[in-house]
Amino acid sequence: MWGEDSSAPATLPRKPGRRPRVQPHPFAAAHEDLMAALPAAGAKATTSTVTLALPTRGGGPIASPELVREEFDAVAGLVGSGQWQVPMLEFDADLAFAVLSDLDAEAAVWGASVAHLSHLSGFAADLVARGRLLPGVVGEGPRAVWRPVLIGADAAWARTLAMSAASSLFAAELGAGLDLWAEALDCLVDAAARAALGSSRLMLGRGGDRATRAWLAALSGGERTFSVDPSAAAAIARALAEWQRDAVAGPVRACFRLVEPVGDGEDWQVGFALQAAEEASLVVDADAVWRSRGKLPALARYVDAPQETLLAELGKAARLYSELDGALRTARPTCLPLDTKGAHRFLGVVAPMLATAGFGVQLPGWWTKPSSRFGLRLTASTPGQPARVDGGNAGLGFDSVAEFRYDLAVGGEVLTADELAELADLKAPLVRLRGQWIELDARRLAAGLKFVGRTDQATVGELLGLGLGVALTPEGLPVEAIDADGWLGELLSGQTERRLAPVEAPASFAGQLRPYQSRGLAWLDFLHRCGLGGVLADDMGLGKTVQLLALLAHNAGTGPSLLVCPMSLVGNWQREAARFTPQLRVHVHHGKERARGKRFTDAVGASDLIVTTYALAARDAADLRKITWRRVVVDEAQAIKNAATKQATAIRSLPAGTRIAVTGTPVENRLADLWSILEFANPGQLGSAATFKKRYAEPIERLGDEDAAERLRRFTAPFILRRVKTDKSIIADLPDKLEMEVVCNLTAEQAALYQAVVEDMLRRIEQSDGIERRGLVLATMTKLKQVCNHPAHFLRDGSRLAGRSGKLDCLDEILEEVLAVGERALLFTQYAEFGAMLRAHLAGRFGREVLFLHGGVPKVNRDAMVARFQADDPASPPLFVLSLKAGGTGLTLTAANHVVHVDRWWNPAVEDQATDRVFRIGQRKSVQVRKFVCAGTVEEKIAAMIHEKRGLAARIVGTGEQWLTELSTSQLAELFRLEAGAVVE
Amino acid sequence: MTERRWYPPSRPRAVENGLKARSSRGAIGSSWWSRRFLEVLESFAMGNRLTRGRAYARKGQVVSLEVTPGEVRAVVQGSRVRPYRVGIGLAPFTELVWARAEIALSEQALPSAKLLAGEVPPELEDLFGAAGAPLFPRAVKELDQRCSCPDREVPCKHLAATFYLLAEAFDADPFLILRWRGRERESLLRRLRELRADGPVDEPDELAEPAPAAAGAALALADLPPPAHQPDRFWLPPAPLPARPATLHVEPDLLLRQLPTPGAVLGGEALVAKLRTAYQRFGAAE
Repeated sequence: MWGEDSSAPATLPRKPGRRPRVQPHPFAAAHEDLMAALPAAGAKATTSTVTLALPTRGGGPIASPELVREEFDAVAGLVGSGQWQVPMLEFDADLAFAVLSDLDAEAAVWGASVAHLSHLSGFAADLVARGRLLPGVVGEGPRAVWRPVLIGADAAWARTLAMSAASSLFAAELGAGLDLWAEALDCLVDAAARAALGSSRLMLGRGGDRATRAWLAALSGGERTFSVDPSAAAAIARALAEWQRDAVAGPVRACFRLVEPVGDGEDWQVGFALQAAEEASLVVDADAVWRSRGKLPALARYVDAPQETLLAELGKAARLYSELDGALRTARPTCLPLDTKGAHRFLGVVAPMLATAGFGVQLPGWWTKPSSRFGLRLTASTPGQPARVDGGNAGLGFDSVAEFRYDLAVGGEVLTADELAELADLKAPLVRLRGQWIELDARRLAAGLKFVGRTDQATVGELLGLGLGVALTPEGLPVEAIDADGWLGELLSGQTERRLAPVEAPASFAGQLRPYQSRGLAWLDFLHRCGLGGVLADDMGLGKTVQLLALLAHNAGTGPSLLVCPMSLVGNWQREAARFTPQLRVHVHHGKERARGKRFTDAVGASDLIVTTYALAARDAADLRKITWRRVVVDEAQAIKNAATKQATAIRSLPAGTRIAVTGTPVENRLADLWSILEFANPGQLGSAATFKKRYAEPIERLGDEDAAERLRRFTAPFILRRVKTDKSIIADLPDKLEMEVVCNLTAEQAALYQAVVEDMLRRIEQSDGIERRGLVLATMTKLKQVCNHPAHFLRDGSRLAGRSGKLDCLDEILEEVLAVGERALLFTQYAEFGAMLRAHLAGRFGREVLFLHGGVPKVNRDAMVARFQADDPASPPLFVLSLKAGGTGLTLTAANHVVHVDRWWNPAVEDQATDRVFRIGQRKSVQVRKFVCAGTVEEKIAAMIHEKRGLAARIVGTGEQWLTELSTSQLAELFRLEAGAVVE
Repeated sequence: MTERRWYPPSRPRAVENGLKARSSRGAIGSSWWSRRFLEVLESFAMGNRLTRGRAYARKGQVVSLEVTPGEVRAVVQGSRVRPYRVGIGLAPFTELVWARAEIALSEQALPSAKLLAGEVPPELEDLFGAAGAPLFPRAVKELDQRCSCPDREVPCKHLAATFYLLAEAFDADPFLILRWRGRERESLLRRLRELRADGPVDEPDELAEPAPAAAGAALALADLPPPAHQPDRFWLPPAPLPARPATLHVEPDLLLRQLPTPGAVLGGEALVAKLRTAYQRFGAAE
């Protein structure tokens, strides 16, 4: 492992004479810095130096895109390869596995190659957990090792991983090719196996061969070498190769196909065939293999002796599936007949085993379809109606009691009494019902029969729990469907949003809702009246904030609501509330001076909406818990996706009537996140985290269980509203271009710097006039804008970027959503040096390539960048940073549909021109333009002036910043002054 | 053991690269067929004399071993400078007997399947027996044991050592038993193919040899092109990673069940039992 140091110079001082072929790397991190980034493991590493082949230009190595540098590289010239010597830390395999399995994202910005190796160690651990490895012996010495067995999906994944390795991974041995990569995976698997074995040792009893015992002992623990004479090691290696030969299939493998019985009373069959490993569609039935007199034309490319291949394959498969022996008693076996029980075992147990062992397996389609399962169906009648007017939700919500009836059903259809009786007689695990095969567990059927026609009572929460399978029915039967009438039926339909009558915003709401926003409001209102929580997960740009504000205005009843959001959005909420719901009394709970104890309770009593940050919600949880909140809303709910964090626990503990989570990132993809967010919205709905992991997260994510995925989707859909911009019903409602001003807060550091710059100016301006004064004013403006961008932009000290700028935090949140839905964005700044910082930060943060166009980029390179950005390829770089001057005109960048103006030029014409890179012919999506300003700063004040077209506005537009110099000192002091509320911490 | 007085206590000369019995302790032979072969020999009351050869076999005194139809030939280094020549004759089956056996074999896929998968099915002995072609000798006189050493005891140490190595060779390649009895693997397979096809067949160019190594990441990457290192894409992944496909749920010791019994040198079933506990630990570790 090696690193780069942003504080070191980019090039070496030039010495006279020819450059040596190998030079010390000018900005490689020193050994001590590397160790500091890995406090636990670094001390155990060996220090050394290594020569790397790195891309080089103008006599210096080109920095990785993740490196944050104060000055950006404007060096033109050809990119070549140079030899650079860097300090490095060496880890043995065990230590490397430990380090890579547990990378601390805070300690350093990890390069793409480290992230890749970390992926690799995760893969290695997974292979070990599934037993996809075999022991071996290698090298002189010799060493006992565990090696991965990669077949089927594992081989495909290994290949995908290998092809996605960056060249930087190979910098020490550019010529090494993929052997180096394979060796890395081998070593990590070996280390993962030893880590899994822990302190237990492998020992053969006294009977075995001495060399074999030494070899086996060296398969556990840290010591891999064992001492035996070379011939004994060679004998072990030979015996291992002989023994393990069948672990990987050859070019042609046996394929087993389960065929349903044709008529009643006939057998199921497992048909035998040969299948080309590389061409799964090339299948030759055993029948044809036996008929051939030697070679088979279809398989001639792969095997010469298909009959012997089939026989050998069947012989091997029989080791796993001993029933095959019976089928091989004939001369030309083509299939294994099975009774229903045998077929059921084949589907559930044998097929996964054969497939994993590398044989081909073909199963009937219904087996994997959830509709072929058998389960209970509950028919519930609604407990009461949701109140039409807002007056509490007595009798509703998860705690209200519903009466329901049990039935047995298959694929959504309730079984008749006759059918049930018939099924009970069959006593078979697979039955054909109404022409469709289904799996039928006899025990479950017997248990289910007891339920038929019974009625019972349960709370709505319990009913939903039954549906999800997180709560079990008395006999452990799965609930296949829940039918209900009234509001519960409405809710369970998962179509609530489309079926409810849209709710218009009340008169107190100063704005116009788009049609889909009215439907969203209706949905939020419906859930609220049912006493239930929900997740509003609309695509970014669809106006989640507006819908929530409309909801607050719509049922503005008694009791305060609490809104928790990231610090970077507090200002935005405050302003949006003032704009859309001016009658709503908003109290922002933040800052060192924030109200505590009694004062806080009083402030809450006098407000409708309290806005606070995640950090404070955790810190002041004791105060917040004293209030019974009418509603708790969390914005950017990804913040509570880790259920165990202090923040998430604190927020879940707040007493609330109903809860709403707002997020623009798809939540359904990572199931642990989904659990955490729904646990906030509707506590207990998905059962405990452990149950959820066992029933849903693991089956769906690791085993691809469609049945579980469908069930989860069905029972969570009522609580998640996610509309995407491409929905037909939405797209018509959307404007082609949506412009918004995003108000970011300053961090305390930014505020302090801002104050210092303003004070410095005011001190000096008295003693200056004429050209000097003008210069001072303009320089101050520039400095303030730099501070608003980032302290490091102003200080130019190459210091760390993350967590120090409100704008950068806002940008991270927005781009996370952009990337999550696979869209692309342009980021404009006036300052090329800030552009370089953005590129470095974003590349490190998102692990994706970030293009950067500034004035120093030669035309050829610029054209290449544009072409790559525009390419219709998911691997294209999704983010493009442009300096306003270099990228503001002429280019067509319609692959992006997001534009962010990170800092402002105060010239709408110039900004619009830049925006038009995206908003022009060829753009097929709705375009979202965001203009950043910092709250309480000169940026926000000028933006407001332009909005209101008052006072100076006419002079501002089109003149850049010259007009500033004409202001009086008191006007300047007023304009530059930092307003209260700029900082939220 | 009876040591003749007039013989000076002899010590065999060390052999470089001799064929060593691979199991250095315990029983030789890990599969049922090689054990059965030794059992048959022991039943001829050769038991005591056989054990004399075991140490020889383990020390590597056997210089070479060759199985040909009707005859096993070996060269064994004794105490004299000149190694002894050992021959073990066993009459090959006649063509008529082979024809009967081949027809019996061709009527069931099972024996061929197991033979090709590297195992001898227990049914094979019965099947040959029923065809009038017992696989193993039924009496000691069927074996023509010859050794160029002066020892008049039969079997001598050299013959005994040869028997042990023969048993191990049967472990590694079950077709050797059939070759000793007069049928080469290829001609037997061709004959069976003809019988299945009911007529003459194409000659395969060559039977596919199994892959030499089964484990290791390099195997999965064999045919991938080497990474293209472009200086302008140096730091970045060539493509973002797609989502990982799902894997099937199987018991962690599947590989152990899928493989045949490991050879004697690895400890046979005892190794599998040991490894099984390790694999269970792998599965439980997560």
